[in-house]
Amino acid sequence: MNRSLLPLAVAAIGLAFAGACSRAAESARPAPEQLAAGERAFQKCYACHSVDPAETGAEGPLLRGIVGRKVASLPDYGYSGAIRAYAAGDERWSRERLDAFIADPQAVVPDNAMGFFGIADVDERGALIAWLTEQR
Amino acid sequence: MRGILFAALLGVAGAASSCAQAQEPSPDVSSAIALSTRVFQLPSGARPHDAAPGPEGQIWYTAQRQGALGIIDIASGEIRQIPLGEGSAPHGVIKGPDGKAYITDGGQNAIVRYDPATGRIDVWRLPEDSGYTNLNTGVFDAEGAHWFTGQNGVYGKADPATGKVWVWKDPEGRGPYGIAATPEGEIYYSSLAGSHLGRIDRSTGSVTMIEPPDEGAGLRRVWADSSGDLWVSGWNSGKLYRYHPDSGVWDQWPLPVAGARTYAIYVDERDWVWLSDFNSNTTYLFDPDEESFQAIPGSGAGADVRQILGRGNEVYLPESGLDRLMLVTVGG
Repeated sequence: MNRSLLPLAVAAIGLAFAGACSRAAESARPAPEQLAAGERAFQKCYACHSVDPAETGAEGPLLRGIVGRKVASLPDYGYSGAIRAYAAGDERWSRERLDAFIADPQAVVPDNAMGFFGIADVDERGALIAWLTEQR
Repeated sequence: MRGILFAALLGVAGAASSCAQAQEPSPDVSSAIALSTRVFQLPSGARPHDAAPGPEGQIWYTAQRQGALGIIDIASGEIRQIPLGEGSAPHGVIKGPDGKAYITDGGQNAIVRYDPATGRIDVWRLPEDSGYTNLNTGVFDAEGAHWFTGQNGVYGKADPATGKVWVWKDPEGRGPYGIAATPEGEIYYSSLAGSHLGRIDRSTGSVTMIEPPDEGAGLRRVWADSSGDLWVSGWNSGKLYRYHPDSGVWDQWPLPVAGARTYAIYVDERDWVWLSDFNSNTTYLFDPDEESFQAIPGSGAGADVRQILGRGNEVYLPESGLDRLMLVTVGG
């Protein structure tokens, strides 16, 4: 191979690899239908929660970035004693933990201040968590 | 179920009072008003959110977690619950001019009507394009229309004659919570997240926004007195407010405890104001003439009284955190 063409060949391979990775990442993303269902499910949270940091006045903590975030870790939010105690073990909101909490908030964190009884439908919870995962 | 836990005379110490325009609370103790209490134990897990007078001798409550309307027979202590439908999660209840229970059912996204004479239940779902509205509280205007709030950012009207429902959006989005009718039948609602009052033009459905004196006060509930003034609870500010519609003037009183979270509010037939504070787990009776607070502790820790209503000498305190309802009787 002509030495002058080598960098171009390497770049081409790199671009092809990057494209493949990008397509793989895209395929790992939730389906648009699931995200739409998740956004609809979020309406059950909307009265008290926002995913927009610019919105103020919501009674509950901001949910942008909730997936993977340490429990009760927003510095400017006044969490209940129950959720702060629950967070004492350095817990994070994994998808699995969120799923259990959204299914029955009072069972997971008794006496928490959230006036919401949970979402029983597993698919609806999955869609909500998928949509929340995208809110970063 | 017989659920009378106890009855006790309250010689409740009056707490400090404070006057308009954010003065500091005074340590003076008001003269106590004679009150007696009786507590009804409700079905476990009912989570009673709101209560209202039912037929004479009965109290209605919403069993929010069990999707039912609860009925307490005061004399016998008997309690029963009427299921309201699949997915029901009732928030508010109020008696209509026709003697029927009108329920704002967040779970069914519908206004639900229960006829105590026949047991019939009507379910009036909100228009499809309303989406999930998180229905909250309802009230009747002078013409018998049922007006309601939805915490996702709506208010609306239901026509009891036809079951037709109209929905409008609050201009500032999420938050519409409490709602009240003045003696003239005008309708005001309070927005918790939006922290404003809304005065509804009943002919057009449009709303006029009214801002409180404290930014971010978190106006949760509202009720009217006999003169048409609006009493409002400040969840974030921990204050009690009075708004004079004629002059646009606001009065305000801090609750007599630090860190108050003022939730429920109700003005009785004497124009006494009843309000609950989540932080101190206490309901207060505020006498506007004396500007004094009298404390009524919850029947246990974490009572969480989210709404208050009454009839005559009776005042109902649904204790959502304890699955109880406290009946307070003025004069013992």
